[in-house]
Amino acid sequence: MIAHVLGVGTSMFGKQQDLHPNQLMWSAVEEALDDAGRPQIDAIYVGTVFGAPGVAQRGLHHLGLTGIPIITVENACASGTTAFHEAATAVELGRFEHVLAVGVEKMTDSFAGAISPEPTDPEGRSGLALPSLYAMSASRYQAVHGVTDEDLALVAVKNHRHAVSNERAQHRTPHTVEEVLASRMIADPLTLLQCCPIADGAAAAVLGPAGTPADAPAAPVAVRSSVLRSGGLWDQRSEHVWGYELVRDTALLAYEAASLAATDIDVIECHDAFTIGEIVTTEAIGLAAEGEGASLLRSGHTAIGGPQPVNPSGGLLSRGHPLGATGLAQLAEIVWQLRGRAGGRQVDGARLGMVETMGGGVAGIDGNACVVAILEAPATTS
Amino acid sequence: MQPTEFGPDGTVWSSTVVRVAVPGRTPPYTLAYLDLDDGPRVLCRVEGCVARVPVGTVLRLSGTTDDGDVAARVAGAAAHETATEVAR
Repeated sequence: MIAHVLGVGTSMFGKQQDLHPNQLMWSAVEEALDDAGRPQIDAIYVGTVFGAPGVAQRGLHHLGLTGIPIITVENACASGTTAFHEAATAVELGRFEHVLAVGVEKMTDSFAGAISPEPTDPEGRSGLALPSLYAMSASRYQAVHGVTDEDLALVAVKNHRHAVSNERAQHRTPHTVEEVLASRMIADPLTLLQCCPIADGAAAAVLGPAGTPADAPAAPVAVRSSVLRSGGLWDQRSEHVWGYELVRDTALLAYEAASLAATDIDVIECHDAFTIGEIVTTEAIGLAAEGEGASLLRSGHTAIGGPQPVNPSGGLLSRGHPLGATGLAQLAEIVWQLRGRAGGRQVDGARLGMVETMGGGVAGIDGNACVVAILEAPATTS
Repeated sequence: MQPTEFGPDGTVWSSTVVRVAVPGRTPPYTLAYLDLDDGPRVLCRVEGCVARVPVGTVLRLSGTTDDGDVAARVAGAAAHETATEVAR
């Protein structure tokens, strides 16, 4: 059976110190359930990274979601997308009929600034905070492929411009290349406006068979494929930057499972935790040849109005990055886009959408997890 | 598994300068991924410069920092020239 996304919902995104994780979850789950026409939920997968033990049940029992299997998963930044992937797979295989996927993260309870990897890994041990890990990729790309500081800044300029019409994004102020480059240096060559902000938030999706419930208010969006992989060894034998091969291989499997190619995709939400991330990812998912990702920005190919807009929501750079929630927030954006309900940031005529999330932090491999999912618009929407 | 020795020379695969506060560290400081000759890629603190070290630069392991991190310095005769280069 093909799994369908029947409903999606999210909280607001940003620093919301006064809200309990329960409240973030309630906003997202209630919206998703309403959107789906409130089917009977048979199981729940929850993605979170820093959530307290029991974070899922603590929030969900208040909504009457009790007595059914609740499975909490952790896959770094791809935790929410992993919850989605498991929910979609469970529906496909007939294990459960209607499954809720939830992602939640209250980042401000754990961090004031950059995330540090686990201290027993060399990166964490040596003070290579997460922005620096991506800065290493950026430095390498600049040396090998001639990517300039301005090219990197173009990612932030594009995504911040997209976010102007995303009322749930943390940052909705447009910025120029000059402003991006003049912001505080975090880890050379990445400046502050090239790094996703710490955010609190939650997002949710209801998956199930198409056409259920019969009186559902919104059209179902088909999951054409969803693939989850963990990273391969990353060491001196790898010519690629961290994460490239994992995203590339996951995307190839997702295209193959959907019988589609990169050129077929109309709209993409990808993991732009740092500007270099979007450049590397657009290459890895096949929008550009290796080393050519920056050309997509210069030509406007990946801006709204271009042939294949990337991160119309504003991406992680603008929405903020509540780790466990991010993947399902990306999914919600693609579902809104494919239903033609994305308002001022709507990608005209979007029929096929992709979600890509990359989670990392473990030394020695090129990523903890990557999920790539391809979704298709309802037949009735044109 | 058994211990094996590599080094002390290697080639910079990439580098960055960390300028944000990280617990237990005082910024700014330079880190590099160093591909040791015929050996593994190691993450090391580059001593003696607060600037990115160009990709391809040869560094030599120089012990450990006060924090216990693997340390490296620009190696051999090219040291002065490269140090001048990165300081610009």
